[in-house]
Amino acid sequence: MKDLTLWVRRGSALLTILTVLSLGMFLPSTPQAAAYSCGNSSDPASECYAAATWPGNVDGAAVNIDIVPLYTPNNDLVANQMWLKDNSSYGCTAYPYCWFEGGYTYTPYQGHTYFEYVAWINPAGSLHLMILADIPPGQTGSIFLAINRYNPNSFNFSYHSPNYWQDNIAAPVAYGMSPNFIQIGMRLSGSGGATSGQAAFRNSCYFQGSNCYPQTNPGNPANGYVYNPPYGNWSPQPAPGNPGGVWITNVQKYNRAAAVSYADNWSATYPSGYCPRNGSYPNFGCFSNGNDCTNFVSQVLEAGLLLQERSGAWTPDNQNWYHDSNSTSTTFGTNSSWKLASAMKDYADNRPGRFLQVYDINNLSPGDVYLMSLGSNHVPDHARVVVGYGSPAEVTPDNGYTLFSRGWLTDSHSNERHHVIWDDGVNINIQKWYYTIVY
Amino acid sequence: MQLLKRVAGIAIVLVVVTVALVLVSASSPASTSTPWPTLKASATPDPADIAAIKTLVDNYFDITGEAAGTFDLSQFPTLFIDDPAIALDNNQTTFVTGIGARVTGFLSYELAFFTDWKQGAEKLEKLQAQLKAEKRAITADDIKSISGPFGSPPSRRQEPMHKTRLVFNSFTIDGSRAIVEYDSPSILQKMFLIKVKDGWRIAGLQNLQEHV
Repeated sequence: MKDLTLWVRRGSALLTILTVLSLGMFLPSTPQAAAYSCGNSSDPASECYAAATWPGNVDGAAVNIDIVPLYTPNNDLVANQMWLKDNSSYGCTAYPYCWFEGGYTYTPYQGHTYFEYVAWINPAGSLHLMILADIPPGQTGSIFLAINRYNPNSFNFSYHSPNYWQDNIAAPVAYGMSPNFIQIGMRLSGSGGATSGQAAFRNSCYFQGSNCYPQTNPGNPANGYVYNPPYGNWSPQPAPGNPGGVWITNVQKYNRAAAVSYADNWSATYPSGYCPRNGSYPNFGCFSNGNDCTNFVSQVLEAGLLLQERSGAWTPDNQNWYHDSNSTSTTFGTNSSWKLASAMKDYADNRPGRFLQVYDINNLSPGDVYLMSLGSNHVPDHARVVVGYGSPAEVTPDNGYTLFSRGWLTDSHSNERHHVIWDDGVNINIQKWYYTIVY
Repeated sequence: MQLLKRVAGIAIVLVVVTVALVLVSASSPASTSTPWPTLKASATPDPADIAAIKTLVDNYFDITGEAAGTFDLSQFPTLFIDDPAIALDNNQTTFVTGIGARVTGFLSYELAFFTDWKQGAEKLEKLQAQLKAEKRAITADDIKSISGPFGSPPSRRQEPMHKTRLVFNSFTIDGSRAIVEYDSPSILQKMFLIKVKDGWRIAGLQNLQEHV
């Protein structure tokens, strides 16, 4: 089972890479590249870093980060650091949480270490950090993450992981909600081709026992600050075919993990006979007599912090998408694009800055949606949300889902579906409109 | 007091009706049935007719499923037939009216439907390639430029072909006309069929219930 779990994680890592690549191809934000800068003019041996300026707001936003490892000539170090600077004065009070998150996939020559993290800050004053690390058996390594936030109040956080660690921790911190600078530092060191890499990172660490922790105030690269030279004779350079650097391939505010989590929490397999519904929203029924599909998809999108749009009481549905949080009425409080697949399509067509129509499902990521029509016209009558890729949870003998062992998985309402394969297993001319959320 | 009760009663009825209407409007209903000619079932249907109809329905799934990806419509005349007496259902009529097609029956409807789909899907593919080449995001104007009367077009079929599992519920065969009801993993449907010299053809199709 442990091996299976490992392979699942490796599969997830691969999916993350593919997702990042596909997002990079289709999302509107211009990828920003920041090559490593190693040293300064007076000291070429100083610490390497890459700095990237984030054009949007850090708070409440998500960013996919694809970091290409940098190797020393001896392949004895893997170190990456990235800074994100928030240029805006946007506070996070409009959001339930302020967070930043990034995915880091790492495939060095010697192995397949996988590391991703998500962190967020809530207004109650806690910093939550979740790390999933997967360093294959037989290798030793450590994963290191540091977060510093500067001005007007600062917080610092760091964690040094063992070989395998997954946790969700909360640590009270002092911080201001109008920060203007966030630093994320990441470091991997491992064996299996790499020797210990801690030495080269030494200058930006302090030690507790054998662990290296970041200095709490390493300086602000946006102000031209470059670390003091680390210990000498370190001259990193790109490995052959690996230029190194930090690429921000996507800047977006949509929290896919939260959307998927919501979809999974509020969906059930058809055979289970269970009809989960969130009492904060209207309910348009269950099973074959229900019509809750688009209402459910809208809830999922909102859970991912796709913000409602409501410009007036009688404005067109293709410019509005909302649910009145004070109402669970099926009669009032939601507009058509919230609850009708055809109207949601009209809204999506009018909001390509939120719903980017793409050609096929392989351009979608978990948290994205598609609309479908069963063939009588070009008007969608059903909506689903993509929640991942894998084996279906719902296998019933009376439908086509048994045909597939793996594929894109979807959740939907009315009928109740949970982790079913996106392909319905029929040859009928079902029409589909695929939308990736780019908000 | 009596008046008050009546007003309250009317208000309750209005609310119930309104809720019912909203529930219906929020739904994704199958197309409303359009009356078809009534058939008198043969007491002893010819097993050969039943077998031929089953094959036709099978072929319908295979050929239209393939056409949804390739837009090859060359085999459609072996599936469908125009018979103005067999009315299109409301969704089909809405579509035909929307694109302004001249349709004389189900064959010409299916040809119009797939032709329009093909044109839209190809526009979408061309636009996506253009956006990729220009390294820019799609805009509302881009969407409008490829939209038809029903807005942005759907993609062509992406799914691989399967052998669709069909369950035949009933056959009503009345000479050269028949109605067959069958279920598939996605949808419960009813077909109106007409027998011609070289076999049966589909003259009408209604969706009864979606299972998706």
